[in-house]
Amino acid sequence: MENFALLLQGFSVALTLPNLLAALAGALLGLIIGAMPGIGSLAGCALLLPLTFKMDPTTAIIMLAAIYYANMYGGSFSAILLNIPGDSPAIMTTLDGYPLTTQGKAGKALFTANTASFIGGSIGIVLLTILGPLVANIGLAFGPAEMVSLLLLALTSIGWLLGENPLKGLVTAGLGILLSMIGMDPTCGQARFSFGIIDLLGGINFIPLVIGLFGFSQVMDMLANKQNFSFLGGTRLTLKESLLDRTELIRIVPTSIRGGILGNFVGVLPGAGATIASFLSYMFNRRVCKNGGNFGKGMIEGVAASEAANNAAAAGAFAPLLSLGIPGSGTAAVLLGGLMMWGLKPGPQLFSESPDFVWGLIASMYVGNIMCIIIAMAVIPFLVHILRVPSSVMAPIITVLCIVGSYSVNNNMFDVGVMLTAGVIAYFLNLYDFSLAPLLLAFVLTPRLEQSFHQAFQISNGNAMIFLTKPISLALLIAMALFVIAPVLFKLRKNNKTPQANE
Amino acid sequence: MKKSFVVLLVCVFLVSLLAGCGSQQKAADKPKEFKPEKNTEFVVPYGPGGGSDLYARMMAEIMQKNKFVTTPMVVVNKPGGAGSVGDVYTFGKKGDSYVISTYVSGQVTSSLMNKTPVTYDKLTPIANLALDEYLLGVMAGEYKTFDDFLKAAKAAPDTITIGGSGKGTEDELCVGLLSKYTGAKFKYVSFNSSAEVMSAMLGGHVKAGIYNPNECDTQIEAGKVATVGAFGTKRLGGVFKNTPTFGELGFKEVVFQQFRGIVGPPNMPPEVVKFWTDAFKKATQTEQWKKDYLAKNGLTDNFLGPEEFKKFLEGENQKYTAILKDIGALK
Repeated sequence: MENFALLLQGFSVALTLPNLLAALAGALLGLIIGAMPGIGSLAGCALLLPLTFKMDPTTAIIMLAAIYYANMYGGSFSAILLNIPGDSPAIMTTLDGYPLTTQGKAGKALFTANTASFIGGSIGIVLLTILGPLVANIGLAFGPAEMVSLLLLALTSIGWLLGENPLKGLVTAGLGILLSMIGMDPTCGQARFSFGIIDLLGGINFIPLVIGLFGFSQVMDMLANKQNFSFLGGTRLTLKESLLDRTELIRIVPTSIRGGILGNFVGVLPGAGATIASFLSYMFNRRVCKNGGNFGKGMIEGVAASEAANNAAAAGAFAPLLSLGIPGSGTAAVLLGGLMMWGLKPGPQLFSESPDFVWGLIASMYVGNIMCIIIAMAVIPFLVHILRVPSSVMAPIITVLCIVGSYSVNNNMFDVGVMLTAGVIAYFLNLYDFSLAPLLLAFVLTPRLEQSFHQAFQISNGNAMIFLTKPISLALLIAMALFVIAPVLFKLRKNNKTPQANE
Repeated sequence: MKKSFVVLLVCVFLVSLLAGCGSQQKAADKPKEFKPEKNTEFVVPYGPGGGSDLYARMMAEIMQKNKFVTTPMVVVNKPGGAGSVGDVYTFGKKGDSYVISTYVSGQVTSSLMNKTPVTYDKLTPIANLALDEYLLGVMAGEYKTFDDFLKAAKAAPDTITIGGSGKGTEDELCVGLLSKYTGAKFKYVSFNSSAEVMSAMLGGHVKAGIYNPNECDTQIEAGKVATVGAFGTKRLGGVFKNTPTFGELGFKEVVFQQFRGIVGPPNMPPEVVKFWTDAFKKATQTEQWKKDYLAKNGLTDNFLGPEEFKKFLEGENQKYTAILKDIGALK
């Protein structure tokens, strides 16, 4: 157990006072950044990077890493309380988190999110400790063809999200695909649907879109319905009532473990990231869980599936960064830039050349993860007070957050317009019971699919056999076929029991 | 806080309008010396963390630390449309003395590809500071020399794939040059970032990749990757000292370097251009610039003043147009 000895040595680095303080500061900042819609971990780390130049490199990366995964905790807060995902991996958290809030169980949802984040994060870190370089090498086996099959599998499983209204879900998924097509074609460089507007050349930005779809439409809904977040009926929500009891813990632990392992692996894949991880984990757990059919109606398992996976993915993204010098996510790329500024050479030799640094960082992830959960648990009682703020106060505050959040992504007023438009459209979609989650997921997955598809065909000279001759790709496609056929068989069997009437 | 920032911006804009009027009147009297009296906006038309961002932030820090500029330089990212959004923004600040922007090869190619209104000649050239180098990297052991690679490509046309980041970018221009002048047909596969190119190459999904020196040096040290050719005019140092340039290999037309320059909005007053040119010149002579930026990232020093930079841009624009037409990206 050479790794173990090195890890202990790492702890001796991570547990020094300046490094502990750095992890604490990072965890606090990360929670705040994550909770604010619009500023994701990428922008947060990029903006704070210059602040750390004066620090010792190990201290600096410990702080930035703490920001990165505290972000995943923070992103769930606004997702659960306000139905606004703080960052993209939290989209799946809204599906069950917000219904729980409307049922008066906001505290439980938050505790579930934090517990699952902790479990997922820990799994991610443990796997990184033991299998880091190995996992990173498996990630390399995922080329364009394998990515296509993985994404196809993910896209097909959107079907499970559609719920009682498959047609309406397909409409919003189609809308998401169309929106993602706007802008420069990733392989030919041709402008599509940009109508000569330069701001549209780069496509519609994800963050203003999400803020509009979820946040601004919420404001309109609030004003139209005079809704005032008083689901809690004025009762004090105490820490005691929010704590999870034994049966609830038993419900979420297996889900979190599954989500953690899956999420960690997806996080390692080049360019896949935490959003796809939380999505796949949610879908997978929905299949495997005993009462998975109720996902989307306020199940703590749903919250756990999404949150465990996105934290594990955040840890997973460090595996290729540390062992190969290749960042697994945009945020990891910013960290890579930081490493170079401090004179470290991230690459295949980082483990052997700077063991103090690498193991100090990994050890600090354990410390940081514990710090994150303590801080996150401590703020829950204060957070739930938000729900008792009357809408006359809340609506203007959220509006300001929406506008600032969408402007600050690119410092561009055009994005504010995108946000407002998306908000108005989403308001009407909500009014007529169109689910927005398929739209967003299609929007995230399609560009990636399109690009990988093109790459695969360029590599194979237009031969579609590339998807079948590669074993990983073939296995994923078979899994996809099974996933498509299984529900049909399932439905046939209990066809007579619940005849569902759709218009 | 954001609101006050917007108010501030509006104020800055109004003041700069007034300042513009003022300097025009005074210009009639005598050529005035310019010295910034308030914040200068330093536009980066790409996102935070990228090459241009790093370049701008490093420059801004050097300028401030050495007091080449005594008022703050605020780096503002305006990403989108492969640099076009930032260019349009700078273009809209006509005559403003307090806006400058980074300008690199990719902005010229993206204006060509997308036929945007803001082409290189619409902005005011201030200076070119450095040239970024490109290398052709392969898996170590798979091909020993460029000759091996070329033979493989000629033996099986259209199967040798070279990865690079983006479409119509510097990386694709490099591959276009290779195909045009070596007689082999290489296939360009575009990825989102050079990290993805490296992953794809290490995983065996593409045969080769186009890299900047700092994108592949550690892989070379680890013995996983080898560079078989350099696109620059001279050999690079360090781990690249045994990598021949394509000129040495007998393809003297295969030369490509990405320029990293600075431009201002249209009609920037000459005394302002002079001020910035001088300030940037001083900054490029500092140790910090040479050591922490050029050496660390493997760039070549190449300072050009406004006149030379303008001529240089004309040449680059012609060169890019020709290659883009050859590879069918432009009609």
